[in-house]
Amino acid sequence: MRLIDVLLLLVGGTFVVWLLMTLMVVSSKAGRDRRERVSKERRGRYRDALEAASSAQLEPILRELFRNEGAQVDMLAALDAVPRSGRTIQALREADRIQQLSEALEYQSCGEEPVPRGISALLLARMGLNRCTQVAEGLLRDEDPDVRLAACSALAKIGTNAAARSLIQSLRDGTMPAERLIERLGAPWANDEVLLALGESDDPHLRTALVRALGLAPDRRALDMLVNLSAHGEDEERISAVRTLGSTGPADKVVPVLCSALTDENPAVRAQAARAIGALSDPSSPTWLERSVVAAERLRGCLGDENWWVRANAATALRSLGMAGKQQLIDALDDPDEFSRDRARESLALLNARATAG
Amino acid sequence: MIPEAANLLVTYNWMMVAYFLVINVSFTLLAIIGWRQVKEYVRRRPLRDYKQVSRSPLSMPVTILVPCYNEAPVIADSLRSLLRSNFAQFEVMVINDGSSDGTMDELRREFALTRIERIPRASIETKPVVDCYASGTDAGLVVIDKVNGGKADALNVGLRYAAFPLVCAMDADTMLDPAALSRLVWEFESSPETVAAGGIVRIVNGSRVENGRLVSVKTPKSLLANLQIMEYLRAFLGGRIAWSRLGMLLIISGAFGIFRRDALVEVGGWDPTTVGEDAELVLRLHRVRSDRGQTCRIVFFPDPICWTEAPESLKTLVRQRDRWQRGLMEMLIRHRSMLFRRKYGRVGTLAVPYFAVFEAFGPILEVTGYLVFLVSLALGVVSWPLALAFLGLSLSFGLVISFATLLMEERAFQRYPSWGDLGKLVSVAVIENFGYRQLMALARSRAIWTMWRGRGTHTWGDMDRAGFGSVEAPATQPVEAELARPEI
Repeated sequence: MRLIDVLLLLVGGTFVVWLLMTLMVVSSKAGRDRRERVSKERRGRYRDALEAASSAQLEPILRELFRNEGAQVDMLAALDAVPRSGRTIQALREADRIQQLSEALEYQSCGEEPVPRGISALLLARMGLNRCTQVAEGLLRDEDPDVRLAACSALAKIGTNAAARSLIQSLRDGTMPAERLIERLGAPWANDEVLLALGESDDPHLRTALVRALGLAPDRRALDMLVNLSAHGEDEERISAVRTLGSTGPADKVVPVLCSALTDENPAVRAQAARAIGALSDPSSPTWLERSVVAAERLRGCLGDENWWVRANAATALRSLGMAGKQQLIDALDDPDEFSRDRARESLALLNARATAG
Repeated sequence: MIPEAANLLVTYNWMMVAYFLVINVSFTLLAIIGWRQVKEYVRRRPLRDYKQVSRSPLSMPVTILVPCYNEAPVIADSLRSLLRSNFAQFEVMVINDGSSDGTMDELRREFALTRIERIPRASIETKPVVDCYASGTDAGLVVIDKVNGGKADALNVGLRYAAFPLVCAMDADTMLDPAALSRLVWEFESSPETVAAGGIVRIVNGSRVENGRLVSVKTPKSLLANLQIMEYLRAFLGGRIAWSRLGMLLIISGAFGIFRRDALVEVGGWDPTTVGEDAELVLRLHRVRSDRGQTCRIVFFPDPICWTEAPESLKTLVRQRDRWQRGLMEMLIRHRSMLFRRKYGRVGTLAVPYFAVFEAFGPILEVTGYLVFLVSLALGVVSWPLALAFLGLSLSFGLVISFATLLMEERAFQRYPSWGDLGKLVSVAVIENFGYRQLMALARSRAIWTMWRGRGTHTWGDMDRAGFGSVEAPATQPVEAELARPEI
């Protein structure tokens, strides 16, 4: 065979491939448009059935979900769009008793492919079907990180004490980034278990993580433990405890604790204490005025702290303390300490700029 | 004709055939790998709760660095768009690189700036900082005014003052998709060994922008901008995804990339003495971290999107490509010691040599190939049927690669929803083979020549910005999208 023949053969071959690709591009566009139409229609139908909370309407829908990834993804979207109510969950459970979708999803959660495994956990959790907690708990130890995170998300949706216990166990095991678990545990439904674990645990890392979770869902039952940790915990625990105290309140109990944390040996604790005082600002509280005056005086002392982070947080906190803070900033303009004067000038300028900007 | 000269021509032609075969096989392999990766990425989306990342107060906070030089007409709109990002924790840090067009006055007026003390958190040598400012209108905005020193120097100042563990480098004239930050931050959170992550850069010309938000995506009227859309798609979907999958990504666009702050500080930040500081930084990260025995995961994702304006005048486009090519050459020359070194793994043994042959010297080989081919034809060294067959093969391969990318776009993302837009892109994928690619090869060859002669600057250069405006993205004024670089 001559070179020219080889070349011509190749040209012919690649042109045929190109023509095929052109057809594929066009058919992809048409196919995708069609799939999007189908998906839109399906989501609408699923949403209507969920809103109606009718098991008769949901039964055929559950049948559609068997081994159909597209339909399962659409169901997840529909579940997201409809507020979760007891009636809907009840209807889904009734429909599932006939269709046995939960069994199929549990089987799917053991499959080889990660995406269906993750979807099974999410679907079971959002539909509130049988064994959803066990399936999600099992998948927290999955080899695939996306599946583990989906399981974590599923447990947060389930929102029961058992789910919280599973997430706390995962924190102990370190199977995924702690922040992802903490942000899920940082919800009121998890507080009972978080408080229980916080009281029982002697692991400072776990205690720190649990305190951070409480910072996202403040619970005054934790006050004593937080006060104790803010004074006697290890560095990380003190930092987290002080920060969480700021979001927990009440001001009259917390301000003295935070003020004493302003003299902690660790600058990160001091900085977080300053920040927490700023976050506490609560002019509606009857004792707030008195407390804010005390807090503002202590914060003014921090304007000259050796650590810039403490200085910056103290200035920010003073800006949010209303009149008491502003008065301290004005007084600090004559402070013998240059740092204090600079921070005060800067904060007052920012207050003015924000007031002017409305 | 002298037989030796004829032999030389024949040999060169055969060399070009070999080059053509290798580059097209590489493109095909990259497209196949890219396709598999995109498919997997799209399929996994239901498992990834990006909304949680964007609203969680525990998500890794990001300092968005916006270096700017003479951006007075666009800076306020760009910043307002950025400040509306739906991400829980971020600050926007504008670094004014000694602008002379009143950019600082514009910032003061629009954002009620007040001087503040900001302590640098890293020691990197930069030009002096004049002042730091906080905004009276937006708590998340910080402005740093500094003495002019170029884009890399401005980015380094931002790096020194950045408060958060992740820094996002972007251009002042680009616009982020609302979900872009959370999608990239997800990657840092789920894989802590990630050092840098880049998203796709798409062309905004022709699309509808209202109040700094993209309202609808459309292809532009300008042929040149459409040609660039196709070029970007091929570079990002057909190239970068695959390089990322193989762990050999060498470029993260200066227009949009997120980096781990401490990793950048460790390597000394961006290099102000190079034109292509974005690519140079990525290669340096690979190199330094390999030298120190540290892991270096640098990844690219196809749907955290950054929208940028593409030049619509040929002159500006050529100038842009000139800079990109010089940047690439500089990067490879500086890190030439990585070539074929097993110590640097696949980056040293495969990626750097590939970029050296096909990206750095490719344009010269291509242009000389065309010339030698024409000379050979004129002298009868190559027969017409053979020449036509080879040209046909070259054209059909080019079409297959472009259409493979288009297929990827249609199956996975379909950002251009109308049939009319698809028709335009299909036409452009054919048209680009007749003149545009050759022109770009010529522009890049010229850049190599300029560099060889020791010319070229490392400054910002003059950039006419039209801004995103409020209705249709600008098409009238030339804009130099300096660093929204696809490897071509």
